[in-house]
Amino acid sequence: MLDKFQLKFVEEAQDNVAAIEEALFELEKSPDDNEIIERLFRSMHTIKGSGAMFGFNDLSHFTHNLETLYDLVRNGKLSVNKDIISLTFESLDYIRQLLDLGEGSLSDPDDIKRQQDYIAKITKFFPEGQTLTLSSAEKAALAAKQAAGAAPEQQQKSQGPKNYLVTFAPFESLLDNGTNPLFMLDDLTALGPYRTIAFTGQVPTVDKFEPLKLYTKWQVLLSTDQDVNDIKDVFIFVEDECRMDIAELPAGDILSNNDKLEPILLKAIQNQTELKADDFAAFKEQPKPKTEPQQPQNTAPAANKQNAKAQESKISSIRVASDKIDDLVNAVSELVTMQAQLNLMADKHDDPTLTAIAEQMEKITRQLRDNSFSISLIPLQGELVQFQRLVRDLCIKLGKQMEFVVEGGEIELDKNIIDHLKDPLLHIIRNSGDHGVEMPDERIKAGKNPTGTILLKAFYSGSSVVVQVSDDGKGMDPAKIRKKAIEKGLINENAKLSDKDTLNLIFASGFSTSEKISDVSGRGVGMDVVKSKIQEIRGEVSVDSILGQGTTITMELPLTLSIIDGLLTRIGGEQYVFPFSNVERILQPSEVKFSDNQLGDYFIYGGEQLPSIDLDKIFHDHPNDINNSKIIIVQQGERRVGMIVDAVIGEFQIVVKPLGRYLRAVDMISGASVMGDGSLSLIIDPGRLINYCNQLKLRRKQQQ
Amino acid sequence: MEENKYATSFLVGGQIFAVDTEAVRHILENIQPTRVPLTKPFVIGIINNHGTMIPVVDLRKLLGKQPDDTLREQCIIIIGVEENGKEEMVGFKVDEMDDVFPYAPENFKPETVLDLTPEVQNAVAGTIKMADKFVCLLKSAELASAML
Repeated sequence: MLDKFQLKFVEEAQDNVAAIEEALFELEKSPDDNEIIERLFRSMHTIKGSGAMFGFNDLSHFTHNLETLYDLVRNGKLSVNKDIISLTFESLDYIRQLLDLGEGSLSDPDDIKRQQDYIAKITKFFPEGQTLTLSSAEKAALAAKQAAGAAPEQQQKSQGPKNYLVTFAPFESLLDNGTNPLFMLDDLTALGPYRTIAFTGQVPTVDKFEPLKLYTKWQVLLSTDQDVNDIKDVFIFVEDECRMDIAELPAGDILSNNDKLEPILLKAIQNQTELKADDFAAFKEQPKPKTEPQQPQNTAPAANKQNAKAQESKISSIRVASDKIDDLVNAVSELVTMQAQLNLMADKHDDPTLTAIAEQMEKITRQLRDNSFSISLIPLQGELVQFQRLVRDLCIKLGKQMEFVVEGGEIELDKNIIDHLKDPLLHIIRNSGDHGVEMPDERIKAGKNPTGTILLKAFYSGSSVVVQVSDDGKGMDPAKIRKKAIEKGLINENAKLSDKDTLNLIFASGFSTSEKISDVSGRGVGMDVVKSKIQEIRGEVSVDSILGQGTTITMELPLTLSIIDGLLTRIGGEQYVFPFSNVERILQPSEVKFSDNQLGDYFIYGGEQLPSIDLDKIFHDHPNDINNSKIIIVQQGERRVGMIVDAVIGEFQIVVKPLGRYLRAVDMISGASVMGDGSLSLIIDPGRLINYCNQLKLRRKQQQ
Repeated sequence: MEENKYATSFLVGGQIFAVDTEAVRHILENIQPTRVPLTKPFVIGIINNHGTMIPVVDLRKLLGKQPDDTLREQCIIIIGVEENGKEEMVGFKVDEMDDVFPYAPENFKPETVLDLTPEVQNAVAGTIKMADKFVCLLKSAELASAML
């Protein structure tokens, strides 16, 4: 079992793996971009470093080799090629497996063998003479293991401060990845009173001096209560880039004994020779003299400095378990319902104080609602890397050339919606890659760029988010789809369908159960599953295709699932809610012109003719009286329709409750909501209601 | 000897029907459902049960019985129907509750001699023979799927 810190490490490492994956895609496009390589390197370095810290030694060891590979790339000793990138992808998968395994170390000999094989694959890329790095890596891993094993003994609290001689001799390349050795010395000297000597003898003359190289080494005499591991921790991220040595010196007050100490230090500086533990033999068995002269002043600023540093780096984001957010959103939903009850109470009692409180409460509730929803929104981008990967894998498997392009990845969606979106997207993109985009030679023959493009585009449209996946492949042939649909008995042979309706048959259940199950697509899940998944989150999916030019699948999704601002109206004795984002304006019947002063199919408003829908008639077959009604102009995408209701009650926050699977057929009602007085209101889905009315009209015309 | 099962019986249009007691979640009285438009004629509407919306079916209409406006107190039996591991609740409006009783498996005959609407023919599980009456046992999942 992992403890909570290890779990956190696993989570963070997964993020890092994802970051590496993302960077790899960029690297594939521009293999010489040093900035990307740096980014890769840093992420690997973090996995390695924190891996070792949390006991994931094998993971750390493995990543170290990968890191070494990129170190070579970084230093120009190796250039990025397809093999390296593919190998890195593979390695990432392996790292993921190790993380999923959830164990610090491998125990199964097969697993160990496998890791060795992997490492061998990586080290194959190392040029001759680089094997040294590998063995030092193993040493590092060994050292880490030993350190872990030895830790318990060192856990014993030491009595009084101990003296250490810390030698820190970084390699010349330490500065390459942005490490500042002075910060490390700061961290080190924050542990207790100290004396430092710098050895600058290696600094060359100006003509040979390279400013990006480090020529200095340090020795620190440290007196500290802290464990030796705490000293090691300071250098944990650079342990492979320096020579570091910690020697314990005789206990006692070495530092304040200036008479004895000064000559030793002076000698070392003059001769540029490193101090050795033996040099301090003279301090042995010294009676403890007076304690702590001026050193505390020395440490205090250092400690403060550390605190200051901690304060500077404020936490900008936190991780929260997603079910906690679900709970929060649920609680807020309940609060919104209670708020409505309070408002109703306040209205009834007509007490100005109560009304003021209710109004204030409503303001806060609304703010709380908006905040908690924004918490549960996450950008689409984070989920898209896996699709990038998918397209890449498809290219290799199918021998095609495809590029995956994302537009609008910054668009944010409710995390529950994103969860529901993953499988459909996977399926759609797989289809595009498998069936849509042609083989390179076919594409050249058709006069297209041999590299196909799969474009994922996301954008806001009113209160919804539209996610489109389009490819520039061979498109779909309505005639073929029609033939197949007839074969499967989905439509009648004589059915008259527009091309668009025919294309949308691919979403009918039973259409895409292909006989041969290929590895890529057609695992028994068809487009009908895509459709039902999208419908579960009150979304819509449709397809457009031009034969020879490509296919576009469009998904229209709601922004959030559970609370909306709505306009409450009355229609035939029941309360109905229009999503506020769809309401353009509310009109008196006198403001518009119906022909013959009767409610008809159209009316004229502001010089425009708009279709009208008498909802009482549609819902209850009870024609409305023109004088006792209100007209709500509803906007849905491009369409504007006047909906006629009996009365407008007001604006409310509405907690959407689904009607459940048995009323799914009534899709023009997207849900219900409990009002403050306990009554129920029904929430209208304007787009679907308009569609329904159009079909109704069409049917009526056909009957005539 | 198999264990006894329990049935919950109720009256619809003068006839006794029953459902498996294990599936009964609530029995509600004097609740007027909120009408939902554009549903099948036998769906009355929805009711709110602790924040969950439950559709309510008029069993008289579904079973093809004549409506009776003289009935004053009607009951809604809420039944849990399992679908893909998730339970959904459905309400059935009946004229009157009758009884909850155990019956021996040998008293159950999977046959029907009823004149019902075609939609619910497959919703009849069979007949339970009791000392003083015959009870028609209904399958709630099939009843509910008449709405789909």
